[in-house]
This record gives sequence, C-alpha cells and structure tokens, in this order.
Amino acid sequence: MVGRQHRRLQPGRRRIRRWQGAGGAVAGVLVAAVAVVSLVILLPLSVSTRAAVRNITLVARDMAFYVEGGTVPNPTIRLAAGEEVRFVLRNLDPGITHNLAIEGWELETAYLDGDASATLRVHVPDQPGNQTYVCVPHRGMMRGVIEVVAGNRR
Amino acid sequence: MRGRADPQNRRWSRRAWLRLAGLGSLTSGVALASQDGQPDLVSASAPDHLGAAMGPVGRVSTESFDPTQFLRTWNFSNLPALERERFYRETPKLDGTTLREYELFAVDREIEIAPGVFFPAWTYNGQVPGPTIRATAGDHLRINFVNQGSHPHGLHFHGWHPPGMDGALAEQQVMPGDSFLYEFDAEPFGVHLYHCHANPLKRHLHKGLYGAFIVDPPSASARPPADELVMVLNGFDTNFDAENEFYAANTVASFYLQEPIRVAVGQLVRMYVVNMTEFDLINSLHLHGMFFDVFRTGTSLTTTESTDTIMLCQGERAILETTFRYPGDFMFHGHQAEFAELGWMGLFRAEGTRAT
Repeated sequence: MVGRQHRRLQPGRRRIRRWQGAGGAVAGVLVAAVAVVSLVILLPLSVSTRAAVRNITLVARDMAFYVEGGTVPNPTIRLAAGEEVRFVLRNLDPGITHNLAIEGWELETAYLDGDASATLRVHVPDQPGNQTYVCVPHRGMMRGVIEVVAGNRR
Repeated sequence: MRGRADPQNRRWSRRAWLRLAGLGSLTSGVALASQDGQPDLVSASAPDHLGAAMGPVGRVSTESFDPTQFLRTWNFSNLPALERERFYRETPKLDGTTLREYELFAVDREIEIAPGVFFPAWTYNGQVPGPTIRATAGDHLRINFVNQGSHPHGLHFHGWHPPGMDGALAEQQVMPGDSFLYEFDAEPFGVHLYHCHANPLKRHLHKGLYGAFIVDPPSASARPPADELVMVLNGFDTNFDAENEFYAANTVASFYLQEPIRVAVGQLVRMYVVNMTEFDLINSLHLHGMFFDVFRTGTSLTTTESTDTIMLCQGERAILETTFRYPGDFMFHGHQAEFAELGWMGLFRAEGTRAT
C-alpha cells in the first residue's frame, strides 16, 4: 500500500506524505530504534567523560589570560600528572585575535576574533614539570605557567 | 540644531524623522507628492536637510572604546585599581616629583569608527587614540613598550628627551615581539603628543598609533580648576587611497552629536586638543555661540588669542579654555565643512542656569 501511494505522489511531496498514516508509524518506530541504539552506545562514554575530564575556562581580556571570574592576569595553572583536562578559551577582546597554545605539548586552539570560544583537550603527561601557555600572536604579554604536579589524579 | 533645546521643535523633528522613514521606501525625492498630486515641498526638503544634520543612523558599540569616557581619562584612570596597576604605577620621590611607570603595547585591532564601519587599526593598548599620558613637569617617566603588533613600531614622544629616547630612527624601531624601555623627564609643561615613528610614517599614523601627552605646570595652582577634556582630532582612510573617508574628535564619527559632551554652565572647561589627522594638511575646531582662550601648545599660562575657530597643522595642538554662559546645546566641529559632514561634528550640552 505504501508503495502504491508513492507511485501516485509527486516526488517532492513524498517526504510530507510519509509522516501521515501508516508510513509515519513505521518511520517513528525506526527513529526511536536508532535513538535507543545510539543512547546505549554513547551513554557509557559520556558518563566516563564527566567523571574524568576537568574543565578549565580561561578568558582573554585586555591582553591577558584570566581564569573565568578571576582577577590575576596570566595565572599559574596547576594540573595533576595523568589528568584529563579540557581548556575552554573565551575571547573577550572584541576585534583582537587571540588563541591558546601549550607549545611544549604541541597543542593549539584556532585563532578567535572576539566573542567566540574554542576548546583544547589535554591528556596531562605522567611526568611532573612546568609548561608555558601563550597566546601565539601576543606571547609577549599573554603568557603563563602550567605546573604539573605528581599524584592527586582526579 | 536649535531644535534640540526647544521641546516644540523636538516634537516636530521626531515627526519629521518618522516621515523620513516613510519616505525611505520611495525611490526618489522627485516622486514626492501630496494627496492632490501637487509636489509637497515641505516634506520633500525639510526631512532631507534634517537627516543630513543628524549624522549617521545607528550607534557604535562602546564596549571596547567609549569616547565619552576617553574625554576625562588619563593615566588609565578609567580602570579599577587592580587592573590599573597592570598599566600604570606612580611612586612619589623624595624631591617632590613622581616616578610614573607605564606599560604600553602595540596591538592590531579591528575598531568601529562609525556605525557598522570597521577599520583594521594598529593601536596602543587596544584603543585609538592611545591612552592619554599625563604627568607634572619634572616627573620621571618610565614606559615599557611591548610590540605585540604585526609590524615594527615604537614610541616617539614630543618634548625634551635625549636622542636615545626619541624612538624615531630606523634602528630604534621595536620589532614584533620585542620591547623597549623609554625613560625621560616630563618637560616642558603643555599639551603634547606621542606616536609611532616607524616607516612609512603616514601609514603608521593614520592606522591609529598616536595619543595625547599632557604635562602640567610644576605648580598645581598654575591653572585654575576646570572640567578637563582630551580631544584628539583624527581621520581614517578606510580604502587606503591616502585620503580620509571619516573624521572625528576621538575616533568615532559624529559620536558627540549623538552623545553630547555634558558640561556645567558657569564652570571653566579646558580642552586639550591635539590634531593627529593624516593626509589633510590642516584641521580646525570651531565652537558655536561663544569664544575661547587659546594657549598654543599649552606652554604658556597666558592666553595669546581669543577666538571661536582655531586652525591646527598635523601634530599641532593647543589648550582651549571657555565657560558656558547659557544652558543648551552648542555645536563644535571642524570648520572644513567636508570634515564636519564626514563625522567631525559634535555637541556640547551645557546644563544649569545662566550665570548672571
């Protein structure tokens, strides 16, 4: 019956008709099935992500990095060895291009032209030590230290 | 602009604006006609003239640069204490002078110079004009300059200083990523300027690398207390044909037309005016309805001239003093009418009652 209906309809109207009557029910079941399957696949991933990854939001403002809500320019950021971190950079300098790079780890966000944000996912190495984070075009002023300390894995 | 002070006229002008908006849907002024088919001369002409007098449509964002705040800001006085310390510190010295330390940097920034018009500027500390530097004659200035821009830049101050601090010779240019510490004493007293002196000079200037440098006389009482305003006259060549398409006092075209500078009737007003316009040989400032005393370069405490229009060459500057006698709106603008119509136009709004 569905097939006969298709033959009678103009090609452009097929999609609309499909959601009406018996065809609609079939499609609905299919969508639900796909949703359930993808939920089963994604659920364990998202749960484990939430448990292990720490978000650190930095804002670029007046040619300095600040931890969101903080007042110390270019603060020292302490990370635990082996920790999973997601840096979020928000550019609050409209018209000025900023980014965030940890060059010792060869990590870098895209360049932001203001009123935008970018993320940097970091798997912190197991060895303690210091790294420098910079804004590549403004490394003379936007530069801070990342301290990797042993243990205390979150 | 008399209409602004008169409520009756203001109502009329709003109606005229609405009419103008309605007419906007018609393609030509020639087509205007009243209901009986006769040309409606009043509505055809008055709104057109009014529209021209009102400046641009829309407003410029003041998020990163507020021309009203700029007028009365020096030594980063607009910033909260903690933020200010990043860029300015002052330390009293035993001889009664002050050590003033500054952090200035060059950075590329896209700035809005008229509603919706963005200009790829080269800036000092992210703003055009750069931050106003203000000291008392004899103070020691220590300015750490960091070039975070994409081209060689530097700082060249007008005033007394040794040649090594001039920042103008080719070998004195500060390369991108480098820095330089400028140190000199502030003298002589007056209104001066600083700017980038890298080549090609006219490009580095018109891109926005300049600011006002005010040196107060050594005695604090040398100039009477006043409402003090910094005005840097500038222009922008938006299509790089070595001619300016926009003009302003303090960067934003017609800003003070939309946001009049508020002053008090009977209060002495002192303007520090610096002409940084590039490409055009001269600029000027004309104030309506009153006269002002002129102190050219601000290097004398005695006025040499009383006028209502002052002409300034590129890099020339003056202190102007006046007292508003009447409440109401007073135009000020470049008397090059072309400059005025392209943005170098503003209003003072004097408030209070007339001094008798």
